[in-house]
Amino acid sequence: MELRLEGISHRYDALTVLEDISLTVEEGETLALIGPSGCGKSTLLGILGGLLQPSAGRVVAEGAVPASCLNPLTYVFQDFALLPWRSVADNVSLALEHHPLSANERRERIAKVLQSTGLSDFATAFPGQLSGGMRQRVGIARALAVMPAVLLMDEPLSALDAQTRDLLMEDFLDLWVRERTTAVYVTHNLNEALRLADKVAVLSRRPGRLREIVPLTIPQSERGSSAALAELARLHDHLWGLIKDEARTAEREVADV
Amino acid sequence: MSETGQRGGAIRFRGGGFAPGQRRGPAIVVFAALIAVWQGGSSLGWINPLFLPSPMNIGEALYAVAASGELWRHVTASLGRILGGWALGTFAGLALGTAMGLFTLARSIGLPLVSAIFPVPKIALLPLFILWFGIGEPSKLATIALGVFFPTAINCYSGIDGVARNLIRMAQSFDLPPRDIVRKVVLPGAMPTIIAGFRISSSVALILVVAAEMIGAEYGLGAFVLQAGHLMATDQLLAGVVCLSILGLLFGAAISAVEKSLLRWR
Ligand SMILES: Nc1ncnc2c1ncn2[C@@H]1O[C@H](COP(=O)(O)OP(=O)(O)O)[C@@H](O)[C@H]1O
Ligand SMILES: [Mg+2]
Repeated sequence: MELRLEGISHRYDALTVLEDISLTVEEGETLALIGPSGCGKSTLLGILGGLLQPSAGRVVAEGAVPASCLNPLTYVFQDFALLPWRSVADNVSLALEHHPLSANERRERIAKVLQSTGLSDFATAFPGQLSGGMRQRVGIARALAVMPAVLLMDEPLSALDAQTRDLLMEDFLDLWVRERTTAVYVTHNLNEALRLADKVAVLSRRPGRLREIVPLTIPQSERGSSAALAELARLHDHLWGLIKDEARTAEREVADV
Repeated sequence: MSETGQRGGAIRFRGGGFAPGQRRGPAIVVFAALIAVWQGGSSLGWINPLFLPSPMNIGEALYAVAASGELWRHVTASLGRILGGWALGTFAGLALGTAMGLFTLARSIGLPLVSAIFPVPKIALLPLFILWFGIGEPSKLATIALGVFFPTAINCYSGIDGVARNLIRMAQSFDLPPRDIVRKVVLPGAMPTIIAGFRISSSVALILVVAAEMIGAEYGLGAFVLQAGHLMATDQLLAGVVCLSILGLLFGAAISAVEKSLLRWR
């Protein structure tokens, strides 16, 4: 599925957060959305999935959705958003229960996503018993269970420590990047963007405007190779150059409040 | 280090204390000692049995009223009123609390109304209820129900209000129908607060049943205690108080059991 943002602006009361953002997320690509904190990345993602009503502009989804897809636009949340009173399997089940699936189909879907996220042994555990990394795996399993057409991820790794983050990032590549599921991946971490994305959209500080879209032409599978290092370093410097001043100014602004 | 005046050696441990634990032993010992002193004082004639009968006397009085079947009648009368009034008040309180937690209109009207009526001592309304419903059971049930209603409504409301927004947004993002969001996210999320409210409302019910029975009832622990007082039968009076304490403990234990089974995930 393709997502087209047309002139999106958003205000919270007097605070203008996003200004005139137009951008296309193409079928099968992973778009990373980066920008200094407070620039409206989460707001934009909320608008993309219909959780927030933009003050102006609209989001258009185009393209057929397979019948197996139960929830075309599906989120993975930064804080996991798991129900602490439901077991791992039941948390995944929550996303399926209101759909007309047979009990068998539902069980199969749950088993399949728990398997692919490495959670099969934890099906009956409660979120409170799991580490942060495992909890986010549950969040991802739940998202994959509905076979989404577009994955919307809001800093899914930023609540985790660095090692867990690296491990999960490699799993992400298997879980959706190689499957070419359309995805929007919000992050403030350049390395995550450079590892996962096909295209990086850089937002300015608040009010967030689109500063630049940087395409990454090296396929994800080759980004670990030494041949790619120089190019990735160049892209890193370029992106860092784009957001460094913005981030510095944004930081001051927050401190002034 | 010499300039700071320190010498070498093992570092002094300074992180101790400020971590109180809890043990069963000391409580049991002190409890037993208190009863022993009380019994001793009575046996030695230091305590006037008319004002404070000995633990043994209270036990005997309790056995006597229990054996005659009288106690049972009082206990069942009180228990029936508590359960009936509590159930009524809880049902209504949960209904209003849920509505206030979910809907703007219900909240806008309900919250000021509840805040205004909450501080009224409900027992003061019993005479009015007697005028409305007569001296029988309905006026007592109404008093207890009203007393239970307010803390239940407030706890249910604040429990629902406190459910994390992000969980609701998550449920919306998976297109759960509103009914399912209430059933699967909001109510379970509010459950700890609602059950905490049961603790308050059960003790309110116990206080109100005694007060209501003291104002006008033939049977019931409140009536029993009052009659015993009129007859200066302090041993029976305290036997009634012991029964009330046991009832209170039983309610607490029942709520803990519910808590344990419903909130296993914590
Ligand atoms: N519900 C809200 N009401 C008012 N202001 C908000 C709300 N949500 C976010 N904001 C403000 O909007 C700005 C952008 O927020 P957000 O989209 O979360 O930024 P980001 O995810 O890029 O850090 C921030 O300054 C934040 O304080
Ligand atoms: Mg954010």
